[in-house]
Amino acid sequence: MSHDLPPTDRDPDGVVDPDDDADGVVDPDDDVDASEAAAAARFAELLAQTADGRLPPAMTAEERGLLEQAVEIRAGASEAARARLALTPARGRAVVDRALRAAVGEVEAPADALAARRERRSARAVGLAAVAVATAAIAVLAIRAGGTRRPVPEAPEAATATAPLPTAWRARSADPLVGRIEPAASGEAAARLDVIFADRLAGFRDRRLTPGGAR
Amino acid sequence: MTARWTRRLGVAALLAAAVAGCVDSERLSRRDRADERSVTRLADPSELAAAEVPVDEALLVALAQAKNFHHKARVYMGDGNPQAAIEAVRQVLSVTFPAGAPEGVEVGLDARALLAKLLAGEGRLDEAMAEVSAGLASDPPESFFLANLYTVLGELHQARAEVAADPAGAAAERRAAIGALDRSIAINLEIQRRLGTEATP
Repeated sequence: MSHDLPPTDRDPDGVVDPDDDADGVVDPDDDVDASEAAAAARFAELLAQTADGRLPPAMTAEERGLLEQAVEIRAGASEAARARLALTPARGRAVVDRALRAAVGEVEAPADALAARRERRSARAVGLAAVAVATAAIAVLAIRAGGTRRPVPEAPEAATATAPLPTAWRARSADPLVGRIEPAASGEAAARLDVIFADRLAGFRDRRLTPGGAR
Repeated sequence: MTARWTRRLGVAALLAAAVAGCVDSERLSRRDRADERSVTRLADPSELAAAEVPVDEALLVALAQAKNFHHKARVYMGDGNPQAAIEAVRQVLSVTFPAGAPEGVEVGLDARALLAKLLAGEGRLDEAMAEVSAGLASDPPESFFLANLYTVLGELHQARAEVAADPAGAAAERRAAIGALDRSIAINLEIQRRLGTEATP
């Protein structure tokens, strides 16, 4: 069973183009005839009137449908363009105003506009630098003023460092403990040392057991 | 343009004030931290002045070591071994006490005095005198222990006077003995006076 189409539907390379079917739709590459041009001019006029707010008193249903589609396409294209340019409404108004001024001959010459823009940019940079320098200078002055305004008293470390320990917690002379050493007891160093050790041990224990005494 | 510059200067002033405020608040917080330290708390041992040494483990260990050497010497003496006793007492002098602890000086003076007596008992008067001289050479502060060392020095001069070969030498030793004993008496009186003054409010 053969599915071959007539030779007229084949491309030179033998591949079938389905759009080449004779379905009554005009090919985009075909020439525009006079009736199509007249219809397009009429629709363009209608679209322009719609944009100016001057709608015709009566339209065919086909014209109304086409007009609504055209308006929607135009509105969508405008929003997309504005979004693509990231224009704020104010910026957009400014662009329109500039275009209008250009239309009436009030626009600056391109060279003058570029020079003016550069001048404004330089002035802005100088201004920002001046602000930065002023900020740094004021900060330095404030810091210096703070440093000489009032001396910050240091911690009362001297008071804590000189807080005397209780006598029993301190290393000290054993004179009060052993008393005068008689010549007869001159060689009793071991006995004296026993007394000294016992006393210092008691002091050490007291210091250890007292909260805040020893760490 | 003037409004723009005014706005910029205002921003600059605000930034400067913020920076200055941060610095000042840091100063204040530092001062607050300093104020938080109580003057009534007990001093940490690490904060003590060098002259004030606490009774701590180091001091007790040193005292215990000296005590053990003394008892060891006493055991040797009881065992009739004076040389070993002398060596044991010499070891007391090698014990390291915490710097600044008066107990270290006084234990050393007492050990010198005992050592000198032990050496003198063995007839080694010159060695005994050398030990006393070594004890006095460090210029220790006056104490009952220093007075005791002068007492031992007087005893040594007296012993040397008894064995002196010539009367002049003996007389000189006796004068030296009296001088040492007078020094011991003077120190004792001074220490007693000092202690009495301290005890009387």
